[in-house]
Amino acid sequence: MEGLLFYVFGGLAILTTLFTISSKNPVYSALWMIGSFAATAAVFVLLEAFLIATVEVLVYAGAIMVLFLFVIMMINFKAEEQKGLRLSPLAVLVALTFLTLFGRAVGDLGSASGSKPNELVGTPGAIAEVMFTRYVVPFEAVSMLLLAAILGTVVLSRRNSQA
Amino acid sequence: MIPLEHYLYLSGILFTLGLCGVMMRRNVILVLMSVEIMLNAANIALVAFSKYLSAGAAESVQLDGQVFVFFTIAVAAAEAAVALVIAMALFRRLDTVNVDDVANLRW
Amino acid sequence: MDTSQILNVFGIEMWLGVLALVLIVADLITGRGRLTGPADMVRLVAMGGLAVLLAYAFMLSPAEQASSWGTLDTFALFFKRFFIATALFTLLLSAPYEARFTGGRGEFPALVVFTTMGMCMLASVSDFVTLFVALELVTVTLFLLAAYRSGLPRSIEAGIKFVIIGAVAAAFLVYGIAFVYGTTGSLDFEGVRAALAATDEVPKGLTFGLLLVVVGLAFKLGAVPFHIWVPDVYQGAPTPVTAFLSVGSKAAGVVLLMRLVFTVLGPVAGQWATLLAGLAALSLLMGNLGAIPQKDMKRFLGYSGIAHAGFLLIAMAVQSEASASAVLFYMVAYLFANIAAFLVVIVVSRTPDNAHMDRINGLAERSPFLALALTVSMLSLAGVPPFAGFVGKFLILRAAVADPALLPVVILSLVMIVVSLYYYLCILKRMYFREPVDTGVLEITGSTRLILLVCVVASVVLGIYFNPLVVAAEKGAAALFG
Repeated sequence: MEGLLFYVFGGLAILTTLFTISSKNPVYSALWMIGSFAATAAVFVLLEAFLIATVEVLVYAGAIMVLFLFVIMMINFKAEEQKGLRLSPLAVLVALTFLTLFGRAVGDLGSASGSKPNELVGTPGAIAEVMFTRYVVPFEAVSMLLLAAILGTVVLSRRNSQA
Repeated sequence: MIPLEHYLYLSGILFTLGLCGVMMRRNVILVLMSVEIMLNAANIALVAFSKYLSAGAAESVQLDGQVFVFFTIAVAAAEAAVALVIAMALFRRLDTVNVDDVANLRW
Repeated sequence: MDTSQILNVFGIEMWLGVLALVLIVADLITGRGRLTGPADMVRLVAMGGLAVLLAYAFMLSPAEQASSWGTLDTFALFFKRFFIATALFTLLLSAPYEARFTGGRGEFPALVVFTTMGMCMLASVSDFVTLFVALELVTVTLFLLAAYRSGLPRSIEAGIKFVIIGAVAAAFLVYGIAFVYGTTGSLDFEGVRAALAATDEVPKGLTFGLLLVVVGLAFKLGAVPFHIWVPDVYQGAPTPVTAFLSVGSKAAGVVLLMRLVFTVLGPVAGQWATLLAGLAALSLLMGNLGAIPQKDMKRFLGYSGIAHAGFLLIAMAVQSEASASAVLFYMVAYLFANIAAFLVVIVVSRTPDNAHMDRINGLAERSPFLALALTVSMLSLAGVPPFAGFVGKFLILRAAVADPALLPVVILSLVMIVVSLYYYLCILKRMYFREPVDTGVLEITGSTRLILLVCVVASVVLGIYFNPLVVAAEKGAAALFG
């Protein structure tokens, strides 16, 4: 059962991502991408990372994609800008190189290969305990990062910023 | 039981698709979306690794991977906001969101 | 959890964060008439704060042992001082430029301080989580700074190119970290190092992860394969930001690569030398050959920056204590030369607002002082004795010849030094032998004179009386090898 669900949702994730990057209309892309994130969230549930699955839906599919949709709506795309994928030899070469290296890497994972899943369950409590003890420094740094991002976006989006 | 490798293949395929999107799409918004796909693929790999880390490892070590995912999500959100505001400014000033049109800076 | 332990390591960063918050509030209070009035004040507060923190950083002594939060060894301290000094220079540089920030002046110092905070954290990180977050704090604020003149098409262009390439590099970094974590079961530098030392044959999954991490960091350094952003962003970004980028971002890449290559990769360092030497050779070729046809000062300095990244990578490939200390010296020499060059560019490019090379034609006639400063800076970058840049290049090459395997790269770098000499001398020719295109009066303020004087004196003094800095660099590098 679990195996079947994984292949269904994994397949869905790949399919929707494929549609995301190849759709001519950016609005369709954004909608397909929400589907892709939803499928990913399901994969996280199969991995028993429940909190991450929730956050994936709330932050990625919810907040970030809505942000993208807003911007797409505000920018009126002209017809000629709505092109699909453009194949270029360099891009194919880079992608194939990456896939080859990746394939070899997965084939030889050292001690991790063939291991069994552990008992770990990603509940909010368990994650919070690690996040607010061992990783409190990066946590504070992220808060600074978000503050700086807010500050900067406000400056850059000022209407009166003529050259 | 699904082997770890299958989760990794899923994340690798998604990462490659995102990479292709970055290189093959001309629309800035789509390029940025492709980058989000790449980061999301990396998250799948992190969570899968954390689930399949040897049972002998301490629970806090196993959770490390999941905590890292939270940081990447937070950073991705900040990055997306900043990237989109720059894309908006680009559209306002140059009336385009096509990467090819953004080529004034050349020798 | 003990807060005082964290502050032992990240005390400076905490104060930088406080300073940034103070600046935001100060801007809110004083910034009513945003485009006129006391915007200067925010910058002055920022500079005062940074100066105090710089003094504080010089008084700090390294923590005796590494805690699990991070390391505060002499190496980290060296770079923290370096980063704060760079930020201070950047804010000084922005004084004659500030009037061009029509979108808001008060926020600029705050963003620079945020970036500095991230850079200082990078100097102390000892795990991949903190590394990633601090690196992104630096990168995201630099995106914003590059696009800061959002009314100006070329600044926006710089921003968008920077964002796309930077975000892709970040994705590679995260993916690499995932594989490192999965194959070693640890996100700590120490744990990864132990795992590398324990195995005879490194699993391909781990090598793959480390490779992606190194590639992701090459972006910060401005080295091949993520060098394409450098010329565009250098040219398009506001000039003080370009100066900050060229020194700060490069040093951020250097500090991380050094920690990774010299400590984490320590057990398998030999296998990585070839890759690093290859990247070094490509960066040298790209940078030096690309610089020749340039017609814009900032773009030209961008290509020269790629070439310098190549030199730094040679030192990483050598992996000896001598090469590590050479990198530290090189960065300081590079700081003074670059700051002087960009300040001259700011002054000559005032109206109309561009940095075409014609603008420096006949500079010797218009302002002998500026011409002198740019001459010293160019010669130092080219590596001509008796300037600081020469000592830096000499130290790196002396460390490199100790390793016979690196001979081809050393020879290539010598050829490239000759090539670079050609284009740096072209700049001098423009200043001394061409007729000026502009004839307007150059506005040189007192602070401009002061910074240029400091940079010129430092470039000359460090080129002749280099011993104290060499000793300091050796002390800093020694910490890496424990």
